[in-house]
Amino acid sequence: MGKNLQVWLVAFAVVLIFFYGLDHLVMNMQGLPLNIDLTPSQ
Amino acid sequence: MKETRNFSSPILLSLLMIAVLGFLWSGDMAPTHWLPEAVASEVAAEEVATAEGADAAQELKLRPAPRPSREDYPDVGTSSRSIVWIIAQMHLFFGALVLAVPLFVLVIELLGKSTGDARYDDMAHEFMKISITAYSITALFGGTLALALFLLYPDLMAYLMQAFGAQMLVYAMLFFMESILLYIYYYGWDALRYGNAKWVHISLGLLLNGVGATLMVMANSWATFMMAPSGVNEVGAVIGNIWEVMKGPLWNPINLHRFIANIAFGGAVVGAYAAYKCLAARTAEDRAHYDWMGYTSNFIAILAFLPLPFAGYWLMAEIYAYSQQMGITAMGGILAWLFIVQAVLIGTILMAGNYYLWSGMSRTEGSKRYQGMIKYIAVVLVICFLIWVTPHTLILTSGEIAALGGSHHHLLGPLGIMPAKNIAVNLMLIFTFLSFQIYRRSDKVATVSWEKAGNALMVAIYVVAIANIIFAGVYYGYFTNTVYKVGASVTQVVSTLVVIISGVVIDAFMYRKAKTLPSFWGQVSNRSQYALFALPIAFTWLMALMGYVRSSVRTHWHVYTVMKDNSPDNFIPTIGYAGNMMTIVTVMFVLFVLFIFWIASLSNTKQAPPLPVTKKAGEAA
Amino acid sequence: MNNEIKAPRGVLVKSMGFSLALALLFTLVANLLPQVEGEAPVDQKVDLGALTMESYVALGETLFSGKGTCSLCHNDLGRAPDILALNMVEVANQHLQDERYKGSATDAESYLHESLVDPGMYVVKDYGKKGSNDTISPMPAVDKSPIELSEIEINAIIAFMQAKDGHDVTVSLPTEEPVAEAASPEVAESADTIEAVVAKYSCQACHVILGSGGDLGPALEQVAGRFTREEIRQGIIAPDAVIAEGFPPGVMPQDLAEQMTVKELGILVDYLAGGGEFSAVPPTAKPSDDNADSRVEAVISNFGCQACHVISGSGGKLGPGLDDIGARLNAEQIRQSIIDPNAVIAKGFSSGVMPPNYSEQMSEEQLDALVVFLLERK
Repeated sequence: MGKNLQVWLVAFAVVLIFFYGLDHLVMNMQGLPLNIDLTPSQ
Repeated sequence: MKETRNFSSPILLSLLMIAVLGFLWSGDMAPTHWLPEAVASEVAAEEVATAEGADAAQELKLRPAPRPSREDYPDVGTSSRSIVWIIAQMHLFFGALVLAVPLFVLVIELLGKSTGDARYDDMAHEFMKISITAYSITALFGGTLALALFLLYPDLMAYLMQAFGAQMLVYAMLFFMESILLYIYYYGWDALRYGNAKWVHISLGLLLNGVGATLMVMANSWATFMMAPSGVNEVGAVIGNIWEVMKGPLWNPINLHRFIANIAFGGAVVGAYAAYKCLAARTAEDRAHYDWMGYTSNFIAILAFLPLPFAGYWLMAEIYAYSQQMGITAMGGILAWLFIVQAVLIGTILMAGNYYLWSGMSRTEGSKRYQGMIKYIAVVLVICFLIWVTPHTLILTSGEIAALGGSHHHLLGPLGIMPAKNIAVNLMLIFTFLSFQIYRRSDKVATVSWEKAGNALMVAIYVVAIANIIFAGVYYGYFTNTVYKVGASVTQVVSTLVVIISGVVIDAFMYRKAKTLPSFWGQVSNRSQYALFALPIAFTWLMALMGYVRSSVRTHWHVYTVMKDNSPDNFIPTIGYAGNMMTIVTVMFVLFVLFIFWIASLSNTKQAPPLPVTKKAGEAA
Repeated sequence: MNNEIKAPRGVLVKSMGFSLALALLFTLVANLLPQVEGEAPVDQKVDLGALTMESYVALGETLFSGKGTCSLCHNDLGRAPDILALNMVEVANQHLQDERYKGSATDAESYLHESLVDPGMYVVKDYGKKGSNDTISPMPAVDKSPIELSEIEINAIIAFMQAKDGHDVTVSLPTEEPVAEAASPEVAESADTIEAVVAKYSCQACHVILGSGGDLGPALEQVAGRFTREEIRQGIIAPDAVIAEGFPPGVMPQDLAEQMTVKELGILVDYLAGGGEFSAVPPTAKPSDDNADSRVEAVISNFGCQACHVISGSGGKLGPGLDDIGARLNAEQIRQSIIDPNAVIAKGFSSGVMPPNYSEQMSEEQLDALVVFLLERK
């Protein structure tokens, strides 16, 4: 029960962090930096 | 007999082409209406001014593009553009088919070699049979197209000859090589079937594809030169070498886009062949074989289709970078309505592809686990589709603006702009991939220990990617500036790609050594086969449409910025007119394809030898 | 062969019918959408003679959404500054003050002109080419391929931009075939001394300047004290804006700004604003030398006939066109009209405009040459 929940939480956490980093990376590569809360920093 | 005749026509045609091109090239054809000498040499002088003491010979070589007046275009009593339009489109359809089929045939052949499953080899051979007749037709239309262009647009062709020169000769020779390789590859199939001989055959296939791809990129350079000329000065005089002329800013984007689209198109056409054979099958074996063949074709078509929007995105971005005006002419100007038709076509393709996958799940018991998801996928696809076809911002006439009550519809306006459409398109692609994935999973049961974690990861990727696409579209699209709006669409595209790539990778590992449930090929509804007809029709129409857009962004230029189109057809026709042309070429293509299928089945049909009967025919009845 | 199944009938007809129906559905969609035809731009022959400022502005508006393709980007979709919504003259003046401005324009008109032919001189914030940090403009130069607007068309667009917000149109109506003007190097050559400028534009036909001249317009030796540089400039570009007391409006050519190069205008303004000081060259020496020239082209140019008359296809509208004068008048009548212009006035034209003292200024050879030349204009 707890194990199952743990697996799901970890999976979501990992993917969320991955996509958060991805957004920063992709926008930065285009010369469009983002703030920490994903708002445009320009 | 029939097949030897097939042999001769393309070879003869390519020889003819070499002869004609060689003649034109060496003849140094000088049309009567080049710019006045004075202007030409002035330009020439400017160009060589930097080179100290440039010799006069070099100056003479710099000739600007011709400027034909309306009278210089031969009048054949009907629209020259329409004639070239139809012939060029037919040549392109068959060219795409002929270039694409050997490509995935080679892959299937390799698959057969590595698995040792003779079914693959037989199927690959059967695909080639379709390609070989199509090749003759390609060559016939290619020759006709060249003839039509030289007759109807002599000045343009003279200029292109001047720009490309010997490259066209190389093209003709490669065409000759392609013919030889294609015939050896097809007719040598059974002779080089096993052992080391098979590797010889596969190498031939590789060579064939290499020559084919080279042919394609060479022909592409003519089209991209006309859109974005390079290696010429501002009046069109050639100042670069052949490589500089070929390597324009749009060349590689077009190369990639056509390469991928050809595969999708080829897969769809042979899929229709399989569907027809499946429906008309008289034995369960035949039906099972062609069901499987149709499934494989659909697999190829959809797999190649999924990355296509990204290649298109790149092409469009390069067009904007080359000339913002050209980009806006395509996407926001008079051609913009065509993207509504494009949405209808791509929607048809995705719906048909999804429907086929869902129907195909009935082949196995294991699909019951996923059946429940289908209706949700269907709902999302339909909603996204509707958002996508909502009219976009357009150049409207004052009457249209009055009828709409503004340049945007007050309710649908927010849905009609790019961010909403980007969300819709990306979600459609993701959900199509989801259909694809559950189909692939439906006959398998994973045995790996980390199945739960893998599934959790997969679900998380889907959920977060979808959330990210919606967030990027809504937030950057509606609440930040234009630059971030455009930038965010890249984020969306990357998110979609992440889903597709991670889906393929995770499943590849998770279903290694998986337990396979039995699949019953042929156990599929007849209705599902019609999805395989819908695909090539929509693909063919889509190709005609997008080719038309690509060509029309030049507006009233033969060669953009360098050579004006002064022919009577230098305007952009109405969408209805263009649509009718597209249906004409599509129907013509279908008829020719039908002929090819008939030829392909004819070679398998053997007439029973006449029995040595003594009775008269009349008595037998 | 033992697994025979019953194939459905009419597979060919059904599959073909299905395919055809689908293709027709797509055709239907294409035919339901608005049907617009995109005409290739036609090179309009603008009838320069019949052009009024109103129709010139209208031409500019047509070009804005037509051949100029401006409205592709300059609209309310945020691709480029929305020209129709902005007060372009004010915007131009603001940009001229901006330190990021790199061009050489001095007023709104020249700024607008520059922004059309060299858009990179000032890139509006956030509208620069992506990644260039607003240093490179994505806009094509409108006088180059693929847009290729002519000088007249560019000025029409400037006139439209000025007129749409109620500003005075400072561009002047085109009066000559621009192609001919641009192509012939003699005309394009810029005069570089005050004497040359005055001679080129025949100022002395009406004004006393450099010590001599007619009395149709106010004398220009003392303008420096009464007018600022800007007012002097205005007086040349738009002569009818302020009319000196005692002189009729509408006499001075409206298109001097069009004809003059920026340099020539500068020389003239400098000279006039500088107090009308005589230059080192004796004022009468040069004109009289020129006046001795009896070649008819020189006569016409020296006496500034084309300031008011159309001769050989170009010239002003103040007096009757002379390209068909040989058909209307005989040699004696022509001579009479030059020597004593107010004796007979052509219908629709006012008397007292043409200087009555040409007989004193011209030599007999010059007068003969002119009469013979005009007699041949039929």
